[in-house]
Amino acid sequence: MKRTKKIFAMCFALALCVVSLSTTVFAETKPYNFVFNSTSGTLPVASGYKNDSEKKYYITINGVNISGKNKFGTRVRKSANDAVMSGYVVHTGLKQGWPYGYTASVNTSTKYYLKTKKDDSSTTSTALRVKGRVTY
Amino acid sequence: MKKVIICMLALLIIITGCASDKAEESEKVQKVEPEDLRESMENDADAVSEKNSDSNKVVSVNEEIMDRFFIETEIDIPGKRYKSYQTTLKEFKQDELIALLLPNATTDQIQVESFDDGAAVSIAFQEEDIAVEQGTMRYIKDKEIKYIDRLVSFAAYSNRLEDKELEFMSSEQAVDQASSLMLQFGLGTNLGEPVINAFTKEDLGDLQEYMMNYDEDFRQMYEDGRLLLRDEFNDEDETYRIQYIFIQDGLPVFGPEEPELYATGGIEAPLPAFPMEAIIYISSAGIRCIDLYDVVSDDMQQSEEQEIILWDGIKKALIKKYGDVILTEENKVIDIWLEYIPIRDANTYGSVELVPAWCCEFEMDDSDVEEGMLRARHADRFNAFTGEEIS
Repeated sequence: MKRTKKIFAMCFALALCVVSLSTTVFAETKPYNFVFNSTSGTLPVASGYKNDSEKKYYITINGVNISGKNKFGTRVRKSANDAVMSGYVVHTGLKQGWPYGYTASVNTSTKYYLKTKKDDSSTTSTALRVKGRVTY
Repeated sequence: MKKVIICMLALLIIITGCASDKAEESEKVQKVEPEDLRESMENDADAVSEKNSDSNKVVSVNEEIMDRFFIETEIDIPGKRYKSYQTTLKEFKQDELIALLLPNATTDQIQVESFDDGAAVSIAFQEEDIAVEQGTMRYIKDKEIKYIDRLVSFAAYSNRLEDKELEFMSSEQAVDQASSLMLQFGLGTNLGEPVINAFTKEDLGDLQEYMMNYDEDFRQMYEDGRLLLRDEFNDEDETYRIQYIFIQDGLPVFGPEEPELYATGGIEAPLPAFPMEAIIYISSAGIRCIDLYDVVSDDMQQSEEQEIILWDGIKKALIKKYGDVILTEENKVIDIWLEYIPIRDANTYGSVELVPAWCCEFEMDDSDVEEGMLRARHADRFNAFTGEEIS
C-alpha cells in the first residue's frame, strides 16, 4: 500500500513538472537604444505581448552613461489606450533582467509598451544615453 | 568561327543595352533645370542646390542654419500636393477573423475570452489563438511559433536576418500567399514592398546556440526556468518571415524601421502615434503567425489636396524649435524625408488622422554599437501642412 502511495506521489510530481515545463512560454523581449538630451521628452520601447501569466516584467540596462546624476525613468503602459500598467521606476545604474511587478491586471491578448525618459531628478545636463531591453 | 562571331555580337548587344539603361538612369538623376538652379543660387549659392527628376526635385543642402546646427543631406521634394485622411484604428470583426483564419472550427469548438471590458479579445481553437485589439491583431497557429518568433526577432535585432529560398515553397510564392491574405483584412493603407527572410532548421538551431552563448537575458531566462530550449528543429519549423511597411499616396507610413517618435507630453501623456507594421510567418504548414500593428480601417475620409511646406518651411520649423536653445555640441541633420504619420486623437479612442510629415534625422554617435546591432536614432517630425512639430 505504502509503495502504491509512493508511486502515485512520484507520478503526480512528475506530471506537475511536465505540465509546468510544457506551458513555459516566455514573454516578448524588445530592445532599446536611446539618447535623451533633456528631461522634457519621452520615448517608447517597441510594443510587445505578454505570452505568459507571470505578473512581472524585466528590465535590462547595459549602457551607456546612466548614473546617480543621470537617471532613467520607465513605466509600462498599454498600447491601445495608454493605460498605466506599472509604477514609474527610476533607474540609476546598470541591471540585468531585473524584475518589476505590474500594478494592473495583465493578459496575453493585450499589447504593452515601455515609456521612458530622462528622469526629472537628474542633476546633470549631459545627454542620457541608455540601452537595454524590456521583457513584458 | 560563326559561333564565336554570334557570341561576340550578343555580348556587344547586351553591353550596349546596359550602357544605354545606365545613361538613361544617370540622366534622370542628374538632369538639372537651369531655371531651378538659378533660383537656388540666388538664395544661397554654396549651401543649397537643386536637381529635377520628373515632377520631383532633389534639393541638396549643406548649411549651418544656426550656431552649431548643420544640415547636410539631399531632400526629395515631391512636385505634388497631399491630403490628410481621417480614419480609425481597424476594428476587426470576430466572425470575419474566424472565417478567414479558423475555417475548420465549428462554433462550439471556439473559445472567446474578453479582457479589459472587451477592449482585448482572445479567440482560441485548439492550439490556434487570435488576440485582437482595435488596430492590432495577432494570429498564432501553435505555441512553437512563439519561440521561433522570439529567435527570429533576436536575429532581426542583431542583423542576422537572411534572404534565401526554402525547399517547401519559393519566396515568391510565400509573398503571393502573404499579400493575398493581407488584402482580405480591409486595411486603409496600401502594402509596401515586402522584406522577406528565411530560416532553415539549421539556422534556428544556430540562433538558439548563439543566444545561449552571447545573450545574457536569454541565458538568464533559461537558468530561471522561464524558457525551454528546443533539442532540435525540424522541417516543419523552417519558415519565411515577411515584413510589410505601409504606403499612402506613394509615401511610407511611419513604421518600425524608423527612429522612434519623440513625445514631449511627459511620462503621463499618451503617445501621439505608433508605428504601423505587418509580419507574417509561413512554413510548410501554411500561415503560422500574423502580427498586425496599429493598422487602420479602409473607411478613410480624405481632405482636399493641400500644398506642403518645402525646404524653407522645414528650415523655419527647425529654427523655431532650436533657435532659443543654447547648443553646447554640434548637431547635424543627415536625412530628411516625407512620410505619413498616423496621429491618434487623444480625446477620441481609436480615431486616427494620417498626416504628411517631414522627418528630420540627426547624426548620432554610434561608435560604441556593434555592427548591425540596434543603434540610437533621433528624429524630429513636422506636420508638412503647418510646420508644427509632431511630438
